[in-house]
Amino acid sequence: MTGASTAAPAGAEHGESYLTHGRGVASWLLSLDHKRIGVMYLVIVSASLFLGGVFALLLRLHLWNPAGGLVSNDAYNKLFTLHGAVMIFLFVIPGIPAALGNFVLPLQLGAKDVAFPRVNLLSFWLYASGAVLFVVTLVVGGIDTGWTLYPPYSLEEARGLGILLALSAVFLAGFSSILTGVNFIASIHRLRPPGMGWFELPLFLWALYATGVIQIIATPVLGITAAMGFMDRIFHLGLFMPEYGGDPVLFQHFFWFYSHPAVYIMILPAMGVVSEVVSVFSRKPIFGYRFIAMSSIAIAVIGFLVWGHHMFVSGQSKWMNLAFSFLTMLVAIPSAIKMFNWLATMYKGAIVLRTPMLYVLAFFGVFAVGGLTGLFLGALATDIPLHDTYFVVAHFHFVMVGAVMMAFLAGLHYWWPKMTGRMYHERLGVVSAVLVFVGFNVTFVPQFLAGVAGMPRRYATYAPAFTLDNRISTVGAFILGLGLVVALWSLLGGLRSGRRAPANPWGAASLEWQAASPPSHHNFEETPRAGGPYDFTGLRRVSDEAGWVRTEAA
Amino acid sequence: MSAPAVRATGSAEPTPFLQPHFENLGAQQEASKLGLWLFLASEVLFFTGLFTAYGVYRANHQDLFGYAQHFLDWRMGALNTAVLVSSSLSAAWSVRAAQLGDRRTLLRTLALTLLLAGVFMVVKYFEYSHKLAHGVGWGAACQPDAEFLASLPEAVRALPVPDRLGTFFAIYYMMTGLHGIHVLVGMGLYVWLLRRASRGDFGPGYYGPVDAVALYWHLVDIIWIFLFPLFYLIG
Amino acid sequence: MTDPHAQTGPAHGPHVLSPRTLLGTAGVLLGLTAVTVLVSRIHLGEANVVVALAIAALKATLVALFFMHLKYEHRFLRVVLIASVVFAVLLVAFVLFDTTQYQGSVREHEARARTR
Repeated sequence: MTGASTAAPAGAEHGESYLTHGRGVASWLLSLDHKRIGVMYLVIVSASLFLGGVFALLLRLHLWNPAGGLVSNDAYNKLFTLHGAVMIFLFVIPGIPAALGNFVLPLQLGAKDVAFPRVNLLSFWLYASGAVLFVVTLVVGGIDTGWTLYPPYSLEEARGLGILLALSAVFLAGFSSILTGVNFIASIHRLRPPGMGWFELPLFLWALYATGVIQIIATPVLGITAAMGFMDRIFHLGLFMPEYGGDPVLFQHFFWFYSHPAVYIMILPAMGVVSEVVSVFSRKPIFGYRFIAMSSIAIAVIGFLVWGHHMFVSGQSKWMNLAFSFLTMLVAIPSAIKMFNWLATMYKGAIVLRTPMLYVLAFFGVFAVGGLTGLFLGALATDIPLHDTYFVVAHFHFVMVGAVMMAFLAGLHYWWPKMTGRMYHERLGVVSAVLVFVGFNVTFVPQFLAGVAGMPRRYATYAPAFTLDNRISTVGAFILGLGLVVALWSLLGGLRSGRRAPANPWGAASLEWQAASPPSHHNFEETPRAGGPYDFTGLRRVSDEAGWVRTEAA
Repeated sequence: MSAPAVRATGSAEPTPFLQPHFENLGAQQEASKLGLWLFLASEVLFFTGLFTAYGVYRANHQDLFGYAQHFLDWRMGALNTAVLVSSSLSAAWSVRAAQLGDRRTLLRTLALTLLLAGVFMVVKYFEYSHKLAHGVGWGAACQPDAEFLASLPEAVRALPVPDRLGTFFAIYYMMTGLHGIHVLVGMGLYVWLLRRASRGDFGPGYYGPVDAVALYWHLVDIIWIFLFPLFYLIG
Repeated sequence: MTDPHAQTGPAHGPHVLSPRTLLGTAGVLLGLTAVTVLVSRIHLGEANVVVALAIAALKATLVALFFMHLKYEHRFLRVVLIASVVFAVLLVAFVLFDTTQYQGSVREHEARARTR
């Protein structure tokens, strides 16, 4: 009996799962089980989202009045710096790959774990240490340099201990990211089951593979930059500080050589989630599989060629400005290819409007706007007046929060039954999706308008003409926050009182849905045989309790 | 890791070093090799940042580099290059010994690699201590004393000390220092390998760690192969 | 049909480097080191850097191909190394180009600052 079974997957009968295999704090903190590591990442990632979100709400409250007033200008600068640093390094970059990817990747490969479980645990502890250091940075008084940490300002003595802690945190989180990339790429190369050639991989794995390439190539440059900044500050080496003979623009080149590809570390896994969900919830195989797979690699590679578009007004030479502007136009193309393929997948599909799909639909609208506004900023002439205005802020929030966070929520709801063995509360999920989408747009659309009208970013006060935009934005931020609280309620409430989840609640065809919900410690008793990851033939919905089952071997 | 010794028979028998998610040791070793190469790729990019800084400063302060290079002793640099190349030889030989199940040669080549790495660090220590004792520090702390200046070749002594000399040495110490840290880490890894090898852990069926550490070591060698001419030779 | 990348080791035994290859490579490397030193004594101006880097690249290639046995490994491992070098060269090249372009304005500014 190949590939199909109406019997419950092993482990389900005894109530044994990876959650009960081994008890006690140490069995979690020192676990080599990718599922437990994924859950631990999820806890810290979520806490970081919460912390960064609290900072955001404080910022938006402060900006209710043109003259500010909630906090001092200095405190405001520290708030937006830590908001950015915590969100980017602790939530958006690791969110999907580390929290969801760690859990799902081996399951989608029909494997028992990632290639290097001990390295995986090391990755987690490096990340956790980085998170702790960011919190300590807060405690010692914070930094007010902006998350981009540009010298000379950031490396002056007057910045205190905070910058050294922040640079160390960045280094540790970066090292974590590199090792995760190594693990994922090696796993995808070496742990595929019989029947799963490269073009039978679920697209989430193609996305994680492309992400891994970026993690390995780009992140070390951030690491060395952090180390150089650290040494420059302590020993006055004169690498970046002009007063000691250094070049601050050099820091920007290094910083953005990582940080631009980093945004593709953020978006590629999100796109992977979207590919999975859109196919399953349209009950249709993904359209243009090879195009989506190849475009992931294209985004990873082209993404390395555009970093200078963050430096158009930093003194970069005009030839580099031209080159980077042109190359930036190119990087939009593979993303557009994906959008068309996703929409074509939905066309004439049998759309199921459950929470994961709602978040994905939201993603389409928001990512389109975010991506298109990136073109305004990539074009040299239009970037000059828009640089450092709220237009930029709105653009990157559309892609980082709108696209990535919504895809994260889609993935979290989609895989929640697998991870926890419980369904989340669907109605609350729908409410959360609506609130998040509405709140998000109300927050950030006015920021585009304010930016075009000239409101500068990173300012604690603003001209009264921008008051209405700011107030609408603040209201939106609280709606968004409420939506996230409702999402949390839906998920955690599901843990307490949600229906027990079947192995395959959604009728998906990739291998993780052949494992029990939640999976046993070893995932699978024997390596499953892979069929097509989007081949829904023969899958029938039996009941809420039993979920979907493939009724006959193909 | 108190695992019993592996019989050096080369067959795919059950072994205490096989991890549960791999079907056999061969698969595990192939995966480890790929993982290590991916990590080495990240190391290449890690050092590239510093090479870029070198390039930028050299391009913008050409006279400085020509002057400062005389502060370094090319003979020590060349000696260290020979030392590292020899250590790469012994490292590669240790892999061969493990693959052939030749435990005696394995132990000797591992020890030789460790010893040569130690020699490298000793030479480095002499270089650094000599400079630091004469005020050749980094950044603002680069104030070579009269004794040091007197030891320079005559043509160089006649030139004024450039005020950005500290920047050259900042890059020098940072690059050779980071490389030195990698050498120390490598030495630690070779101590670990020696302990495991003396317990009989390695043989034709299982030698992944020996191979992996050797690959790391060769990269350390490659980086020095670039550092040597860039700092010691081309002024 | 078993996937060749699925869980098996290499079909043949692993390649073992012969003493001749090992010693030969080491010999060439030491020889090239001597060449590097000798050539550096000849003053070729700008070309000194290029020659030195070219010889270093050759030495690195030998270490990679033989000591690191890339010559005998699966092609993908070579892709990994080459890709990392390509991106490294990209970073160095773009940054070096940019910095030489804007140095002029930096020097102008410094000159003006000095005369003030």
